[in-house]
Amino acid sequence: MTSHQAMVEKLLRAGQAAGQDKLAQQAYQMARTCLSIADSGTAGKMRWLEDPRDVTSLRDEMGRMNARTGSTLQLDPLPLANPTASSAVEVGHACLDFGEGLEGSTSRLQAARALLMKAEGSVEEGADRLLAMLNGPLTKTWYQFTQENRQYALLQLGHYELVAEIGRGLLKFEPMASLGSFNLLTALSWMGQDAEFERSVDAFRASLVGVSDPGHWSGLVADEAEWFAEQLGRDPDDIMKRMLPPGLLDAGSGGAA
Amino acid sequence: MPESFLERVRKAVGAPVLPDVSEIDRDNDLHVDWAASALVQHFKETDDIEAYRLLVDLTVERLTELAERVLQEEGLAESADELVVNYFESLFVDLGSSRSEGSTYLGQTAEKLRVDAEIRVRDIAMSGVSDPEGAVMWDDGRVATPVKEADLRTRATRICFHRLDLSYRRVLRAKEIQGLSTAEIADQMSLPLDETKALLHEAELRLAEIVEEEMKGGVS
Repeated sequence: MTSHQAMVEKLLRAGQAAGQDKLAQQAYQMARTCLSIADSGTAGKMRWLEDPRDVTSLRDEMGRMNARTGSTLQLDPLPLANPTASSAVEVGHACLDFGEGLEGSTSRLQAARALLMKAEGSVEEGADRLLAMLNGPLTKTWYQFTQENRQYALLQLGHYELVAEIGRGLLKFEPMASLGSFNLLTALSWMGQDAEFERSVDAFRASLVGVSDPGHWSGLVADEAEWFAEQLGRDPDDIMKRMLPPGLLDAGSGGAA
Repeated sequence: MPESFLERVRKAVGAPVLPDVSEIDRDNDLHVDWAASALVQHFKETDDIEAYRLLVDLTVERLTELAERVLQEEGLAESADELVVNYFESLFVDLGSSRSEGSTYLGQTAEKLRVDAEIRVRDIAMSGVSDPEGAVMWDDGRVATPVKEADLRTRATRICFHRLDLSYRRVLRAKEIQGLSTAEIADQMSLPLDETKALLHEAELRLAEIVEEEMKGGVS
């Protein structure tokens, strides 16, 4: 092989490898999009740190990268005009399988798989998957993300004591874990443990000072305050005041989400 | 009779590229510009991998020359191959429009290579010696692979090189990477021989000085 041919081959391989990386990234994005579609009909509220991408443009881009790389990743089961939860789950799992083939069982893929299982109704399996993730190496961000989502799955399963236990541990690890703190307060409300709720609510309120998405938090608390108050035998306005810092309290009273 | 390269290009893009010639002259920038522009446009519009293959085949040597020139002008101690690989990786995953940016293919690509080189100089110069690339770091800060003194010095030299003034980087690169003699460097940089010798000496001294400072944990 001449040096020209060798360099051409090297560049073709480099292009292919970059294309595969891009496709793995897109597959992960598509799995998130599918997850949001599958989750939209469930009772729970999934909180997205970054909104999933629009399915139409993402599928167009993936189709193009499929063509460039010669990949056979199948996206057809997801109808663009009317994507259903079951078609989204099918394509979501296919995207995660594809991503795992390229980048291995990374934290983001494992987490997306667990949440997809939860969205399709296999909440316990999803929670088990999240628990299994804790046995492997995780960055601090992924540890917090995993524990908060595990709490959420366990809340749906009614394992309130376990949710509270995870919350207490998480707050020692990261006192500003707002979601972990909120999940702890939710579990304590379910269990009617007003004394611990009162001890824990200050940490939650402190974690909301300076958050980048105050509207989300004030809306979430406004939505749940009445239910918390009912479980704990307290006044909803009192709950709002205890949970929200002054700046967010004004926004929350309007019920903005 | 085997198909000519130009015939393959015309077949790939489905258009009569360079209708007045029988074969592409790869040393002719006009030929390369026309054919490469058609191939890039076709690749971006249709995702046809054959157009990408032909583009790589057609332009690899010319782009490597351009990259080498850019690297020398920017005084960057990287290989031209790396810059070219990065360019083609970016092109492969670029899903943007194929709209012409009002310049020739080679002109646009030289500009992209220059921007990439500038970013690399900045990134290397700003990186920290004590945070070696490739070392496995755990969340609690433990480093799985101990870094050897010699590796640290090599890394410090690479970083400190990119913190030097441009004129120092250029003469050192010409000597150490291009392998030019002092007379050839003087010719390349249009400088008198004595001045070139002095510049080389100053550059070597300054590099040694800031590497030592960096190894002691000082600020250069």
